[in-house]
Amino acid sequence: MTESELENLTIAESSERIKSGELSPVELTDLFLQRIARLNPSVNAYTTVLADSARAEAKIAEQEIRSGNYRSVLHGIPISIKDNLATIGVPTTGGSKILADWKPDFDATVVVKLKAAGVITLGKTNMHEWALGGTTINPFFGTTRNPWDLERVPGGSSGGSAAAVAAAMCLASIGTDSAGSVRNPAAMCGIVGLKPTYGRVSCFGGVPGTGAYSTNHFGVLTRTVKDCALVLQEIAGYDPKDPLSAAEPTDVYSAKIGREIGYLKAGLIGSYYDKLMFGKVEQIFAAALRQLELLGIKTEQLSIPHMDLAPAVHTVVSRAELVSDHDHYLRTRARDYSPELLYRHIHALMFPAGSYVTAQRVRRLLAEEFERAFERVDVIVTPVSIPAPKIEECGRGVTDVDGEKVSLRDARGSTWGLSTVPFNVTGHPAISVCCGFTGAGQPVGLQIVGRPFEESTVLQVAARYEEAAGWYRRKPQLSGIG
Amino acid sequence: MKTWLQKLDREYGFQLTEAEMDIILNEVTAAEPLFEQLNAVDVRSKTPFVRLDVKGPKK
Repeated sequence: MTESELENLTIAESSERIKSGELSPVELTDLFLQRIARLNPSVNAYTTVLADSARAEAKIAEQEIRSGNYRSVLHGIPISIKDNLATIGVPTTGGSKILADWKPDFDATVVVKLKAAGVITLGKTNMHEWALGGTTINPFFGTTRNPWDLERVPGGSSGGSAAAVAAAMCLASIGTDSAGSVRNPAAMCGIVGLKPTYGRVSCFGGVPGTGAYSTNHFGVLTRTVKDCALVLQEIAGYDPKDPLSAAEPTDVYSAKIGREIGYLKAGLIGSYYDKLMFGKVEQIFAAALRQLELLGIKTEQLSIPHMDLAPAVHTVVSRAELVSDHDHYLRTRARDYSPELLYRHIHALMFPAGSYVTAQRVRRLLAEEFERAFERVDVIVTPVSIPAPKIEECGRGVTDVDGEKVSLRDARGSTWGLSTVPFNVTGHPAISVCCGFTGAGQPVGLQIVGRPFEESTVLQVAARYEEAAGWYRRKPQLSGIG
Repeated sequence: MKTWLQKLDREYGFQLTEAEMDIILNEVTAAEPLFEQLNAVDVRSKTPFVRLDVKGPKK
């Protein structure tokens, strides 16, 4: 195998070859480390590369597999971890200056599960400061670049994870999603990003202050939907260490992949999402819907009367919860935050307490409206609307989407978060899968949302769409770098 | 609002400049519609949503 062959490699394919002994985890890990050494100086996807421990883990995996102790489909699979998941003895910065030197003495539950499954951890990935933003322009660890265009951001906050997967610098990455931080960078980097149902995956070991209690989720970024299902299988489930994790039984997440979807019905929320599509995104989304209809899916417009309030609910709830986590550092190290984030936290200190409760009550209203909507449809499909802006555009706050000027921020937060935050508010499982490219060659995401704990259906629809549309076959050109 | 912000500044020891206070107070003003929108909703029969409830068997 050569380094360039990594670009088309999936977990599903490599795990079969590893299991049969045809592919060596040691060789595979060395190739990924070689590619990281070549690309990371330009892409800056990783803040920490764990070359020595990855090679040691690969040797152990190889020995175990040769001796008949094959642990799981992830045995010997090289992955990366966002830098806000605790990893024992390894820097876990949360993208912050404050935690720049922190090396936890424990692993996040997800990391424990992945280690038990036999993964090889290549390193920790860059992220937006404290996961509280969507660009991964990080003042302390540098800007992560989008593999499709190095002058553009990869999205965020899991921007390093998305860039690493898109640039074939790992086979999967674990991210976190409190407002779209898995789905937005996945969309902007043309890969698959899944935010499971609230509580489906333990958040124990997440860096406090990098995700609000009510809206945070750990998620999976991969190159294909099937790979996403394979990783979810290993990390899902109740965790007594996380009081917010769900006791609902897990599913066999790849079981419905490849099945027909013609018996399913998809809901659209045009009253909300039509306002969020710019440039060619509207055409791209319409083409994706036609593709789903060709696969037999029926569509229906849904009414969610309070949908427009979802971003306000999210802003009030998440910022109030987050500032509680940051209180100690605001009192002791306030000037170690970027000014933008410091001002945001100080503003949150001034939120009226009653508004937090009101927002949680409006959240109940929204959840009930979605519950009624899901009596009529099996999934909801939406665009993940804003393609990756140029780095310089983020400073100006305006991006250009196929000639249309789009503001990147308003009082509700980032414009790109508007597509994704409704499902952080409600907790429904949601995936982004590539559904086309803008005139500037930037990927666009299709968001597929399911009923609570029905990740299998979300993955089923996403996989059928992915295979029929074929966008996943397109790769960023990185051969001339490094 | 400025008095409140000055009190927070003293309590937390931020040492905010006048320019920084203006930035934060502008954010406060810009966010007012968010609170107004939420406060306009009739939530009298609604309890806060604190975790996801699953009702009925999966299809």
